[in-house]
Amino acid sequence: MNNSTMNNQDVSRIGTADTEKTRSGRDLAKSRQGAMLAYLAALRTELGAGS
Amino acid sequence: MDPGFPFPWFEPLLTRLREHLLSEPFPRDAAHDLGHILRVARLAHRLAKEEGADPEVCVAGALLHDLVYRPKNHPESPQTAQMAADLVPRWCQATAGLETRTKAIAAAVASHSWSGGGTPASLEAAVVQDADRLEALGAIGVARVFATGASFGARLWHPEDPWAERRALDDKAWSLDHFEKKLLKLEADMKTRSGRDLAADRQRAMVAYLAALRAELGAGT
Repeated sequence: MNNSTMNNQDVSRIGTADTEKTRSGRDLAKSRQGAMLAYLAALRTELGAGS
Repeated sequence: MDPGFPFPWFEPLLTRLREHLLSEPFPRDAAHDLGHILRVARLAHRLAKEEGADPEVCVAGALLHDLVYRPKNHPESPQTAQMAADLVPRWCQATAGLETRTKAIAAAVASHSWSGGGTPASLEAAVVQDADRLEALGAIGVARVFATGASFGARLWHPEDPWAERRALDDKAWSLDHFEKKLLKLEADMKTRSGRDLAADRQRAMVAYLAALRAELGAGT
């Protein structure tokens, strides 16, 4: 997968509540996934900033 | 990604730049590659248009700003901006369309760097400096700081005191220290209004990243 094809749906499959085995793990994974998605949204904006 | 600069000299200069990057004495870290150079050029073009600066000086200055690369822990690293500026006349004389802008481009290259301590003496030099500093901020800045640190053997952060609450900052050893030591100070030192606006957005993204990191590093306690 390269940057041009990666999207939020792809990222949402990383460490989700579907794959974590404990409730506590799922809660932490959800929080970290939120941080990761926020980071990727900012990166996407910045990579388009000069256009 | 096609930067799409509408200057007849752009493609010949880019071709020469690509060849130059393949024949350097020191391999570049991931934060100072052609991608960084092109992003700085795109930002410089945008800032030039918004500030009313000469876009050709700004874009050419951005494309040539890192013409000389030394690893961040190399003794010549603080001098690379001036070393690059010294090469600019040769590059401009060899690029049809840039000859008359040689002095302005060289001046912008000379004053761009943080470690070199240069002060921009023209609007175009301010634009190039701001464009390069914007690359150190935001989500891009986060990726670049850890890439740069890794290139000279710095660890991500101190394992027992990541936020330097009981020790002096040491960004040669711990990449996270570089935020406090330099990156969080950049927004206040932007030279153009457009640069300050973009820097504020990127600072927010960076601060949000640091808040998430702080929460995660404390998550097991």
